Amino acid sequence: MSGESNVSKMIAVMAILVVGSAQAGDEPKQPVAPGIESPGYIWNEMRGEKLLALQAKGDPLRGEIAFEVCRGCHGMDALGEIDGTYPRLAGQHPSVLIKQLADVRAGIRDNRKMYPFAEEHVVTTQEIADIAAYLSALPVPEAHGIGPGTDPERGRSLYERDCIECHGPAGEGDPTNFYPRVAGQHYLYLLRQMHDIRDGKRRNANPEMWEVSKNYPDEDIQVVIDYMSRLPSD
Amino acid sequence: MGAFAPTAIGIPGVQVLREYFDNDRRPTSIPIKPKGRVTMTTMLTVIPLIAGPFVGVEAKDAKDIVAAECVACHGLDGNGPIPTFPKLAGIQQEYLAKQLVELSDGTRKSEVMKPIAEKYSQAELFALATYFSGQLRKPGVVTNPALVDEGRALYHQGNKETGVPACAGCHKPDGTGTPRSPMLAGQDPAYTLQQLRNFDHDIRTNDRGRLMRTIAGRMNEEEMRAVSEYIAGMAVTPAQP
Repeated sequence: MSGESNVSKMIAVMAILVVGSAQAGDEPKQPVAPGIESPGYIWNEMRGEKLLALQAKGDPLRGEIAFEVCRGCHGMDALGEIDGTYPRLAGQHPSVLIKQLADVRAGIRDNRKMYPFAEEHVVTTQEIADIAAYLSALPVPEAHGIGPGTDPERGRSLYERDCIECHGPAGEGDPTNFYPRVAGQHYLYLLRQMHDIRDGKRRNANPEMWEVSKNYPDEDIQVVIDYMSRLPSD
Repeated sequence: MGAFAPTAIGIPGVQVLREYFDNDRRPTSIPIKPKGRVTMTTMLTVIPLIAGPFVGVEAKDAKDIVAAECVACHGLDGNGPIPTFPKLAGIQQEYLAKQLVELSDGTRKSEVMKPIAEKYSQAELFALATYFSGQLRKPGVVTNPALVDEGRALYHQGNKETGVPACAGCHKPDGTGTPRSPMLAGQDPAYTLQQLRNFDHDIRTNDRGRLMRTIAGRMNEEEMRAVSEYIAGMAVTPAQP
C-alpha cells in the first residue's frame, strides 16, 4: 500500500515538475482553430466571443485605456508602420476590428507574436468592443505607405473587376458585411495580406476572396494593391 | 467604498482617475468632461482595490512609517540614496499600492520586502503608496552612456523581428507611465535590469496577463541593459505627479 502511495506521490511530483518547467519563460500560446483549410469552414460564423463583443456597446473612453497595450506596436495613434509590419487600425470599421481581434483570440487568424498582448487576461470581451469604438473614431491622416505606381491603369481595372464590389469604389469597405476599409492602409501591409490570402495562410479569409485571389500572379497582386494603397485616406 | 461615492460622478480618463485617487492632491472640484462616463464594470474593478481599505489612514501617518522603515533604502522622498534600490517617487499610486499589497502577501516575491510589508495593514500600505506617489522624482544616473542610443531605439520602436513592443506604448513616450504601467523615467538602471531579468526567468510573476514576462522573454541581455540605461537618463517631468 505504502509503495503504491509512494508511486502516486512520485507521479504527482513529476507532473508538477513537468507543468512547472513547461510554464517557465513560456508565453501564452495561441490556440489553433479550424479555418479555411478545413472542410465545412464557415466564414465569419456568428457565434462565441465575437458575437458577444458585437452585441456589446463599445465605450471609446474605456477603449482608449484598454488600447494602451496595443500602442507599443500599432503606434500611439494607431497608425501602424509604413513597412507593413503592423497595420493601421485608426478609422477601421468596428465590426472589422472586432472580427479580426476575436479571430486572433480564437486561433482562426494566426499571429503568434500578437496573441500574448490580445488574449483574455489582457483584454476583456467588453474591451474588444471598447477598443473598436475608440479606434474607429480616430482620424486617418493621408500620409501612409503607398506602392511604386508601376501600372496604375491596370491596377484600376483589376480593382474594378475584382475588388470594388466588396471593398467599395473609394476603398471604404462595408461595415455591415465585415469587409475592411482598405483606403489609407499601408501598401506593404495590404501586399502581405493579399499574398497570405492567396496562399491560404490567412486562415480566417473570406472564401470568395480566396477564390478570386487564386488567379492572381504576383505581378497582378502588386499592381492592384498599389492602386488600392493610392485611394485617398478619407 | 462609500467614502468616494464613486457612482455620483463621471470619470473621463486615466488622468482624472490618477488625480482622483491621489488623496492629498485631489482637486476640490474634479474637472469632468460632460461626455465622459466610466461604467460600473470599471468601477467595480477599480474602487475596491484603491478605495476599500484606504479610509482612516492619511498620508501624514505614512510619513512616520517612511521615516522609521523605508528611508534607509528608498529615501525620505522616495528617491532612494542607494543604487539598485528602486525609486518610488512619482510612481502611480494605484501601481505602488498593488506592489505593496503583493509584496506583503507574497504574490511578488522579495525576501527583503516581505517581512517589512507584512507588518502593515492594507490601509497603511495604501497610505504609503499615496505618499510616495506624491513625491517629486529626481533625475536618474546613467551608468553606461554607450548603451543609451540603442536603448532609446528599443524604447520608442521596439524590436519588430522578435516582437518586442515599444516600451513607449504602455509607459508613454516620456516615461511617465499610467496606473497599469508604472512611471519609468529616471529609474535606477540596475533595478530596471534586475526586474527585466526577473520577468524573463519567471522570478517576478505579478505582471498583468504575463505581459512583462512575455516582453522580457523576447529581449536579450544587451537589450535589457540598453533600455535600462536609456530609462535612467530620461528627463524627469518637473510637474510630476
